[in-house]
Order: sequence, then C-alpha cells, then structure tokens
Amino acid sequence: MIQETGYYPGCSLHASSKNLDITLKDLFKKLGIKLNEIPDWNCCGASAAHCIDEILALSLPARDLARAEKEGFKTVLAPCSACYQRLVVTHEILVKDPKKMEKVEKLISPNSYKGTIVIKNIMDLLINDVTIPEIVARKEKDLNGLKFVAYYGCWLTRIPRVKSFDSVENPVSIENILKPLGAEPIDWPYKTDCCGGSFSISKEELVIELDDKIISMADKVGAECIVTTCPLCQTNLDVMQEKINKIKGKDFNLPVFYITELLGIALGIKWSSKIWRYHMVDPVDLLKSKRLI
Amino acid sequence: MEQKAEEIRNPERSLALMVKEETGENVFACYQCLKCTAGCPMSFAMDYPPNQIIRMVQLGLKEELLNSKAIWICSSCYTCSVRCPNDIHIAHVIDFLRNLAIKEKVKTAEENVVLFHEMFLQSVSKYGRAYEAQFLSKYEMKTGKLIKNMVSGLKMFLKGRMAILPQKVKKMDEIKKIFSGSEVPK
Ligand code: SF4
Ligand code: SF4
Repeated sequence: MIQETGYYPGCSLHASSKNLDITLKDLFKKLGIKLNEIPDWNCCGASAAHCIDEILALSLPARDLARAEKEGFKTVLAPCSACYQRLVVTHEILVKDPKKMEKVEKLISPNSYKGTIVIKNIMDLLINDVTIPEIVARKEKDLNGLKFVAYYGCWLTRIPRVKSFDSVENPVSIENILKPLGAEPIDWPYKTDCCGGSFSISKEELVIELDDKIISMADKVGAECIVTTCPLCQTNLDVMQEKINKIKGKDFNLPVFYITELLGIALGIKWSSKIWRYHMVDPVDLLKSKRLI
Repeated sequence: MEQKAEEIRNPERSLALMVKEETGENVFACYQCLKCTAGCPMSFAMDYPPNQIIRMVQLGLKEELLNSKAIWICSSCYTCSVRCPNDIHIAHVIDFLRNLAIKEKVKTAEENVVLFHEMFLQSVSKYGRAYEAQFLSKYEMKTGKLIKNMVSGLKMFLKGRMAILPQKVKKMDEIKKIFSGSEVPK
C-alpha cells in the first residue's frame, strides 16, 4: 500500500465542497496515507479555460504539475473530476505535442514540466493503490444495508484516448468498495450520465432537465441515497433537488454522499454532527435510521 | 501537397483542414452514423447536434458554426468522443470552434455562457484561484439574476459552502504571466 501521495485539492474543496476536503483528509489519515498538498497551487481553469483559450487551459494545470514534480511527487491525487480531467488531458497533450509544450513552457517559466507525474482520482487510488481487502480489513462499522446508487458522472472514467481505471460506461468500483462494507448497491442506467455541473449557473433551465432525469431514476430504482466522488456532481445534484421540486412539483429528498463520508463511517471515524450541515438535502435522518451515526 | 490541392478544389473545405491541423482530428472519417448525437445529453437543446457539427465542419460552414448555440451548450461530457466508431474526438473539435469564435470576436449566440466562463477566468487571473462569492455575484449582477438567486446563494453561504474571503496564490506574477497573452478579457 502507498504511504503518501501529492494532493491537488482544487478550488471547490476549499470553498463549496469543504466537507470533501475534511472527510478525505480524515479518511486518508485513517488509512495511513500522507497527503502532500502541492505548494502554492493555482486553479486548473476548470470547465471554463478550455472553452476560451486552449493554451491557457494547458498552462494553468501545467504550472501545478510542474510544482508537484519539483517537490518530488510521483503521484497527484485530484478528487474533483473536473480538476482530474484537466490535469490528465494537459499531461497527455504536453508529453505528446512538443509544439504545444514549447508554448506552455514559455508561459509557466520559471516552472517547467518534464511529464513524470501520474494523476489519480479517488477511486483509482482506493482500488489500485490501497486495494479493497486493505479497506475491508479496517472495517469497524457495517453500513447496514444502506441502499445506494453510485454516480460517477462524466470525467472519472471518461477521458477520450486515456485508459480508464474502470469500465468507461459501466464502472463498478464504488459498488465494489461499499458492498463488502455492508451497503447495498442498486444497479441503474445513469451511472455516467452528465449532471450539467458546469452550467448550473449559466444554463440552469437545462441542468434542471438533466438532473430531474438522474434523480428520478435514482428514486425509481429504490435508492435511499446517491454516492459520488466529484464535488461538482455532489453540489449540483444536492442543490438542484429543491429547485426541481419547486419547478416540476416533485418531492425529492435524496441525500447525495461523497464516498469518503460513507467509507469514513465504515472505518469508524466519528465526525461531529457539523459535518452533515454542509449537505443541502439533510442526510441525518437516513443515517440515524440505519444506525450509522 | 494534398492539402493544397484540396483547398484549391474546394476553398470551403479549409475549415476542415484547419481543424485537422490544430486538433489532429480528421472529420472526413465521419460516416454520419449518429452515435454521437444519440448519446449527447445536451442535443435536446442544441440548434445543431454533434453529427451535424461535424458535417458542417466538412462543408466549411464556419459562420453558421461560430454563431451557433450548440458549441456553447456542449457540456464537454465526452460521451460522443468515446463512442465515435471513427475515433473523432468531437468535443475537441467543438473546443476548437469555441476558441475560434472567441479569437474572431464573434457575437456569440449564448452570451451568458461565455460571460460566465470569462468572469470565472478573470477571477482566476486576479487571485490564481476561483473566488466564487465574488464572481458569482458579479455575474448575477450583470445578467440581472442577482435577486432571483440571492436566496440560494445565501443558503450556500449559511451552509459554509461559500468562502467569504478569496484565497490567493503567492506567486501572482507567475499567474499574471500565464494570462498575459490569453483571450480572457482584462
Ligand atoms: S459518431 Fe462519429 S462517425 Fe458517427 S456521426 Fe458522430 S462523428 Fe460521425
Ligand atoms: S461532449 Fe458535447 S457534443 Fe459531445 S456528447 Fe457531450 S455535450 Fe454532446
């Protein structure tokens, strides 16, 4: 099992998704893995930069990768799927395209990226570097049949021409980790459908359509909650339920958990009740009814 | 040589050649199977679905493409790109078209989407990181949605999900340099 990894929190984990930062750090502490934050990291440009200016979209993550490399990190964990995707795409393009590399190197100097970093998302790291048996061996609490659908969203497994750690369109790693810990996965067809996260402000009316479809299906198949890894997906599916209820006359009340929250419970982490207050759809009743808190 | 001949035969096709040169994507491999559009989550709201975008690139319909809503409504979910039987990275072609629309200062069909991207990036150019509270309220002020979205913004704030103060990168000179030649408005 790995002992440490470089860590790129990204903007969301320091603002709208602080609870992912907190629960992830606690979980990794429990697993005995040290997270080394990239010093003085900058925003990766997220879903905006690549729409406006490709060289900018490559240069922002390149500075982060260069700084990670300089620190001697071999791997970098990027929990946000948008950050993960931008770091991976940047790495892939720069190591293959010397012309773009030259332009980017000029912009990021005195930093310089040689192309040695392996970028990981949470699931890849948990499945392949920590491994399921190691996690199960640390189980302290059964998840008591909590019925969930796993929501992977767009970029965790789907980056064109980049080998995915799990099936691109029918991934199973979230289910495979939570099942031996006592939760009950429910199969469903919208595991990797787009939640429209990047448009939740500028095209809200479209996002409401996408999310209504996703949440309706989760509800229909009998899930008690949705489990995801991405702060954009979590925020979007969590925040939109109230709006969908209002606009579409629905009655959704499905908590949206981060995988780190449920793994933390199963591994015996005792968070103060404050941690659940970050959720827009209150998960406390569900967790109590399953005797998980 | 082959490219030159192609351009002389059909000048309209130079858009496809430009796409090939800049992105490496060969749009002529498309045989209109529509797999991209069938799986596109945003096609319901697009004026031209992804298969038509590729056809239009083949035909050199640059103006129509740069003025389309579709290029801005694409969420870059990559479903089309991983499913194309001819390995065309359609989303990459769309990114190229968006970049071109910005470079050529086209009055885009989805101004708010573009404004949102630009304000997000302006925030990054100023602090090195996204300062949500500030750029969101600026965006909503500009688009006249401030009052409408005040309640949900306030709720996020009360939940601790909106940072009051910006986080700033220390080496801001490095960030300024990265943004120096970019297409992001000052
Ligand atoms: S999936 Fe590929 S080949 Fe099929 S229509 Fe779309 S771009 Fe053309
Ligand atoms: S990347 Fe864009 S065009 Fe392709 S399927 Fe997704 S939304 Fe549609």
